Amino acid sequence: TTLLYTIKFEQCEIVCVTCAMASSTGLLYLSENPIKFPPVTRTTPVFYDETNQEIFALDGDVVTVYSAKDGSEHSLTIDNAVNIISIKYSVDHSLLAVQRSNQSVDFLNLQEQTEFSQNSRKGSGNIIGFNWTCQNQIVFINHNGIEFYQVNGKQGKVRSIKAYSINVNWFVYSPQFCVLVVSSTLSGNVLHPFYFKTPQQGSTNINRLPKFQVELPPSTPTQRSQLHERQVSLLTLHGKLFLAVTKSPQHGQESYKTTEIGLYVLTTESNVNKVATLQLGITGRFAVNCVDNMIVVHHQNSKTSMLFDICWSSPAESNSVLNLTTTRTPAFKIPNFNLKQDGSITTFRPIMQPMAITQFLHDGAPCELYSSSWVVFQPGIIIDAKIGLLWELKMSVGKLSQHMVCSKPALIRLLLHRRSYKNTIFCTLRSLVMTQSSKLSVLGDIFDILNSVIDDVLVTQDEMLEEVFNPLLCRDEVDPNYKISLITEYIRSLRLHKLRISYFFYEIIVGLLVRCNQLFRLHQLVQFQVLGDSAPLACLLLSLEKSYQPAFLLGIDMLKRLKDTAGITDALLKKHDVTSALQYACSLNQEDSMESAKFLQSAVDSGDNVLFYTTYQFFVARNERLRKSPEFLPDEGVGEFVTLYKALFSEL
Amino acid sequence: MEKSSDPLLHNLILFNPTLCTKEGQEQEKILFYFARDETSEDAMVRQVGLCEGMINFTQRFSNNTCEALETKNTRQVYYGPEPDFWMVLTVRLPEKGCKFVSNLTLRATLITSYNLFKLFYGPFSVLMSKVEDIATFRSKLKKFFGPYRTTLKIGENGILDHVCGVQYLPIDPNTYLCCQRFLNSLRDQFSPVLYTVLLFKEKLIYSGLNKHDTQVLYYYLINILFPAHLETSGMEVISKSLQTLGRYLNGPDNFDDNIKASRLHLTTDSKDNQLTQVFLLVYNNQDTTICLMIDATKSCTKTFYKTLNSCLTANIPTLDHIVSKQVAPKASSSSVAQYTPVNDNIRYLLYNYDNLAYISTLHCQPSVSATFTRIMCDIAADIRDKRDADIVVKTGSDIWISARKSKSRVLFAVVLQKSIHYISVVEDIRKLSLHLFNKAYFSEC
Repeated sequence: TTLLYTIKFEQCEIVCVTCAMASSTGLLYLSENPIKFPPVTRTTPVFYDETNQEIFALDGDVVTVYSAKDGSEHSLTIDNAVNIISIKYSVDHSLLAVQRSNQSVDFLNLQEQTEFSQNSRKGSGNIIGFNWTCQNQIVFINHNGIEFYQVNGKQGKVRSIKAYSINVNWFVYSPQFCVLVVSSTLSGNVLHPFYFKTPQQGSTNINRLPKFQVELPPSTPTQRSQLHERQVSLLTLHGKLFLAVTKSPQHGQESYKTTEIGLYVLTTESNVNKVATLQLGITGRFAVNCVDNMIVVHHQNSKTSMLFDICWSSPAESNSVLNLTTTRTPAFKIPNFNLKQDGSITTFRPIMQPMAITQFLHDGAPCELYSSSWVVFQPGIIIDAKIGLLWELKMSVGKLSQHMVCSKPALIRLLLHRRSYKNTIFCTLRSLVMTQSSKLSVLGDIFDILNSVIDDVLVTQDEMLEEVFNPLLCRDEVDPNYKISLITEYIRSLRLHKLRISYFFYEIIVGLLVRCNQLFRLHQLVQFQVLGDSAPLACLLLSLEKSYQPAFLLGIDMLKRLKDTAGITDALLKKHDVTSALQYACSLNQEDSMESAKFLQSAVDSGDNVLFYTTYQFFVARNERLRKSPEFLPDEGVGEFVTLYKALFSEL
Repeated sequence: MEKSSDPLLHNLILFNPTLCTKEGQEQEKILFYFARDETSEDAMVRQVGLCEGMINFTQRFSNNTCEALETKNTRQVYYGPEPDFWMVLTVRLPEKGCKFVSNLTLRATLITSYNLFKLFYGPFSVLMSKVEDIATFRSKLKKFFGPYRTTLKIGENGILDHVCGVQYLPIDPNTYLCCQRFLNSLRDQFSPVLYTVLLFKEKLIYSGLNKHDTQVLYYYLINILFPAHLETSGMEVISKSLQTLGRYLNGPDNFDDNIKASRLHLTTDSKDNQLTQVFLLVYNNQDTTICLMIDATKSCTKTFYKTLNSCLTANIPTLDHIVSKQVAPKASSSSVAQYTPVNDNIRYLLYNYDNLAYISTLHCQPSVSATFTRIMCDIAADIRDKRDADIVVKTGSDIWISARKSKSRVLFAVVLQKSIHYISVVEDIRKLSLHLFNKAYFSEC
């Protein structure tokens, strides 16, 4: 896959693009600033290196390198550039590997202007290609074997680490995983994976993994089934490596009407297994990309792309049956692969109708999309060699909600698996609650999904308040009952998933119920202990006494459950209910340690002289019991009450 | 069955003095008059005049009107629910046997009957102004109070009657919120549904109404609708029980017919003294009963009722299952712990004026005899207006009765054990209240 052009490109007719130009970007679009490089001709070949994501454009002996990573470019002159078959920088860019013949690879030490080379082993056949793995290690893939070398640029030496003898038709390589998969046998469907680990002292860092076989359509008398390189790609989805194999029907085969893509999961721990089938439903020429952990299958004939997500499914949801449960929905981690563990294969269909990539304007004119001169690389590289552009395929996550025809909870599950899901989820939720376009139960289902994800920082309660609830709450025209129901649903979901509920949700719901005078409902919420006990909530309830008298007792009850005895005494004294406060303190055997001044002050403030008299007498009795004298101690600070008592009741 | 030894309803009168404009036409005042014995119109007029005189006379001494009149053989209670409208109920005491009727509970009966009338017909004054003539008004009153007075159980007026309380189902917050999810979704999906009330095994789980409406509706369901349904369709229910199909106790029997639903007049969300008018649907499936109150100002189509019905049939069985699973003996989420026999010799009644909740073990065998219930009624009348109270009484038969009021909560306890000392009675009751109020405030001894 290194050499970009074939002679075919030049024979292609230029298709006149007459499509109406899209005014805005759609779901799939090409990066706005593509890498520009000289278009491919017979005399100016272009190479692409997936590992470093670099374009090498040759013009005579001058090689210009364009980096798709940072957009930089630089040129250098190489002898005998005309014969170049493949060209790649080492990972640290200290060495440039150039293949000019079928038998050897030359290494150019650019800093020291030295050059040395390495031949493939005798009998191992022609070099099909090579890949830098890591730390100046390189693997040669030959027709009859794999060779793994350590290249020392300073000394100009190449040391063989390991070699395998194997017949190779072609190979694919994943730079992210340093995994090489080579095809062998006549049919090409026996695949051998090799895994290159980061080197550790004293151990060989190449791992040969068990070979596996890819199923092929049955051969016909005229045509032998074969697995070709163009049918295979290595995809990375949520940090897992998959091998995608496009299986097209052969001519005259009725049983295979349409094309499907088989997905094989590659791990270093276990055998390779086919885990999924992507059903394309059509035939033709396909190319596969990955964007934001979704598989994008481009169909050249219809000039559209299909999207697949192996973490997603859209279960049939009933309209009238609510999901009523008091047991939490199963917790899940992201990614939550919708794959079976028992070795059976899951079938996936496109998550939405096929769609075209958004039109791209190049020098003011629309580019031909899905052109036959397109070459795609992982994860999302699209190169049009004929016009000399390298794009990155992108997806506008925000547009997913417009294109998806599915339930809102299913949409949320899809969004959760996108890289920048947060804003889109908030946007979606905000629009759902503001327009009240979704049923309340659907919003509840969404809350349940968000709350069952095992990830502390996924969506916090503060964020939900800020991004979703506050915009609704501050709109006065919205029915307060809707607000109450919505917050109740959120509290239900949090409770169900055993999450600690932030006090402000209680405050909101209490405030709403008081404002629309639904005090009996408020009473029930506290009575059934839906609102978790906390000191601030108890204080809030106590303070509601003016608008709802029973709230005071609810607050006191809560303080009792919180074992806040001082709080209860203070609340009673604030109401000048001194008798109850005294009784309460006595019941806790705190009689001897009570602060007399506090109680006497409350009694005085009540304006009830009898209450003051009773309270005073209570403490006099205590004084006598404790000290055998009715007098108060000087440090009790009750001097003014003694004076008042004498003034009021001296004649008694 | 009425026994000769029970107090009997002597008369039930409703009158409005302003309806009589000319002397000699005093019978015009009378709006409804039920008398056990045959009574001439003259006698009725005299009786009403007597009541009116009694009310006017006592008003000279107090801002509060007269509530009850006791004579040797009768008890008469008065209630003026609206300006110029008076209701009077008289009970005749039997010559032998039960000589006791509590004025407090008797008057509570009268108030409840008014509240029920108002729930179904609206206030007297509003109804009177709406009908074409007084005769129509009188016939409406007769239509309601005629049958209703037969449901009055004068002899059985117990301590519970004056509370007119509500029994709540003790369920955990998650189950409660699950019910809320269903009810809120229902309201969200069917906007004409203004309020919902949910019950399980005749115990309240949720009410979207205010306290007053909840109290009256609950009374209606428990004392009138449910028993009536058991009587009329008892056999049918048993034969159908295998199907456990949902059914309407009140509402559409058949969607082809006109929807037959009672119109209710609610004080919930009433504006400018205009009561909120709704249609009441009561739907029952297994142990779950849901009341739906549908906006009477909106006309709902048959399709609406059909969709609503399919939503109920689709979800109520699940809800019923979830709640029944949760109602386990040990479940206790209400602020008051459930009864566990701390002491076999104690029967108690606990109620809370704030949420109308009550728990009672008075009926547990051996139950508390009527004599003690009467004493409790007397105490209840005494402490009704007190913020806090603590009373311990030793009865003639050597049994202790304790009543304690702390803020809105009242706890009655009867210690059935004979010949025990006051100290141990107090200790027993202290233990009981510690047990009952481990999660709620109650002033201690």
